[in-house]
Amino acid sequence: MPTFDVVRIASPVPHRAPIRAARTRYRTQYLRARLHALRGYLRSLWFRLRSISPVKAATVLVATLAIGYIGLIAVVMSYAASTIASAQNVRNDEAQVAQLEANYLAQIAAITGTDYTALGYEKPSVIAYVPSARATALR
Amino acid sequence: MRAQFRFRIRIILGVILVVASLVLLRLYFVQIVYGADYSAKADAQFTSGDTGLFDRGSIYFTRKDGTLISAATLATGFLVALNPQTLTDPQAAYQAIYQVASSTMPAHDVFMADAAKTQEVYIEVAHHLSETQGTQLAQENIPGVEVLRERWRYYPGGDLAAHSIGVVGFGAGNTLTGQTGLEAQYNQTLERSGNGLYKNFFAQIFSNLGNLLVNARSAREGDVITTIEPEVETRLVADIAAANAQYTSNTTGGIIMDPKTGAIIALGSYPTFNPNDLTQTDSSQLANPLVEHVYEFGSIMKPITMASALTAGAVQPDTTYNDTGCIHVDGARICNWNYHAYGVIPMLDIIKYSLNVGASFVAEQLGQTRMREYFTKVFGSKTGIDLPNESGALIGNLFKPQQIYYDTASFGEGIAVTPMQMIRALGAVANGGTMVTPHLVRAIQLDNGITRTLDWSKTVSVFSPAAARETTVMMDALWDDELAGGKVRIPTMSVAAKTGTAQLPTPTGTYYNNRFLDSEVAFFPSFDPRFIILLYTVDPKHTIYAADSLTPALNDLVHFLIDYYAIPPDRGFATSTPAP
Repeated sequence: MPTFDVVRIASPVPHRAPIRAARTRYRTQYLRARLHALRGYLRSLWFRLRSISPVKAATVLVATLAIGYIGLIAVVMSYAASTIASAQNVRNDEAQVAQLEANYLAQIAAITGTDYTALGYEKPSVIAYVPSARATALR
Repeated sequence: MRAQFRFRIRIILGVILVVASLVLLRLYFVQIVYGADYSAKADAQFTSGDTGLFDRGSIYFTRKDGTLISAATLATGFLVALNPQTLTDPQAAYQAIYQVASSTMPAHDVFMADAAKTQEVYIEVAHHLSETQGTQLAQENIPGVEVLRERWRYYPGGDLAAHSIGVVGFGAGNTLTGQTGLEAQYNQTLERSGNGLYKNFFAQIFSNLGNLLVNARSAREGDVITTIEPEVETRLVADIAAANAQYTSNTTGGIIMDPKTGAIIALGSYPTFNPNDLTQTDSSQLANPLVEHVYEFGSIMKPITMASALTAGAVQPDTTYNDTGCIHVDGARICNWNYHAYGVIPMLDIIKYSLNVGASFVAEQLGQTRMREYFTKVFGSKTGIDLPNESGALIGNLFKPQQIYYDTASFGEGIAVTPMQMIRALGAVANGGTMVTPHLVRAIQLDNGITRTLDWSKTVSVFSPAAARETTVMMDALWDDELAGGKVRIPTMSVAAKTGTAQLPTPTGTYYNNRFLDSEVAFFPSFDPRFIILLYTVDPKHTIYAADSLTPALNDLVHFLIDYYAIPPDRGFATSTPAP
């Protein structure tokens, strides 16, 4: 019986484990560099802030709040004034509608109180009820 | 540490603890006990007042097609005020104001007296100027004359349903609130508490956070939508006013109700008043007699007696008795209205011919205990209608041992009920034995846009359906065969009716022989009624019987409702009917 030796043939694709390690090393180095830069930036910012006078900073803050406060008051009061004006307009319209309704009810009362006999009308002598014809789609 | 030093530290610690306790106690009083007061004070610092103009929700009628018509709303215009300190020419000011507001301003001497009050800075002299009048006067720029915006309560219908809609007034305080009727009953819904404008945005956020998230006012404030139909109301008011004038009665009233739901379609009482001008109105006229006054209604109580006896099985429709015209009970004499003896007759004839002797027979068959039980069930509690100051019935005589009280109660004398209780009880006969809750308001239209429908579905079963039907048959026979000699019969519409003529009580507890209360009730179609109508008139002159005084008005209302709501005929539709 012939025997065969197992021969390991070199794979054309590189092995995955070294590639992953290289990638991880690269990422770590990149993040370290970014962190270092950020630290440097914050440090420089801190030095710049320390050089600003606290009085100036407080003044700027108070001024910003005061302007914002006045602005909010102006907005609120303008909104309130326009709301009141709109509400009054609505009330004016409702009052006009009420006048129309009063006219309508007065007309109803006048019709109810009308003496038709005096106007020459006569009551029907006979009232007949009949079954209605079939309604068309247009009705 | 030295003991002395430790002791001193302990003393200081004790003092600190005592002071802290006092501070905590003070905090408790400030935060908890007086918290609301301080909160209101703080709020007052940061809120500006509202515009000062009167504001209130509206009350609506509902037309049959669902359209809302205002019964009570707001009118807007101007008022004229004087500032005597800056008024330079009172005479010229008077002339200028008189040209635009002569009807509302005071007399010349009163005006001049007001103008002379130089210690005052604001005196109102004219009200309710229209937009045109106010604008015209303002443009004249008269020194010392101020033209200011004004709003007031306005009732477009005038005296339409005035007793039930109600009025606003100052009452005990300095704000206008509802005093009578629906204005009072739904005052919390109708009143407007003002917008309370905030000058400080942060104050609004931090002191009123709850309202920013959920506006409790908009969930409570709204408009009231009634079940009253304005055209039916107008017709009812016209008919009762005509009846009141024709017979010079003390008062005449009427109610039209849906017997299945209790919705009041129309109600009114005459004499009435115009809520737009109360200067000529006596305060006693503001009371609503339909719910606040009790009356002995007379023979329209007989259907209640009959339905009670039929339900209890005390009598059957074919039970007979011997009507002798008059009987003696406990030393008193009870007679039929015409003193006629009808002989042996069935129960139907008691209702048809309105026989007091027959009603007494039914009461005796029912027995005192059962009659008291049924009448207490029907009249023992208020109706629950959404109107203020509702009165209860006076049925104390049904708790006495003498039979005479039960016999007289059987035909509506000796017990007194409100018109609303009466129509509710008779509505049970119309509604298969079930009593509904009469009501005027069907929904509240809230300011936040939601319409909240009110639930009036509570009912009370008082009579059996069979007893209610048999009683209806008897009342139907009255309208068809007996009333006005049968002339009001409508071949195409069954109407069940009953009349009542009761002697008015004297102040001493006896009864007048020549003063009566006439009443009449009808519902139609008899066996599936859409409407029940109750009319009454107190002390009509030149007539005695309700069949004469109220039948024309009732007949007119029946025909009007049939035509207005196009109620289809429920019998003999192939035949014709004589005109009313």
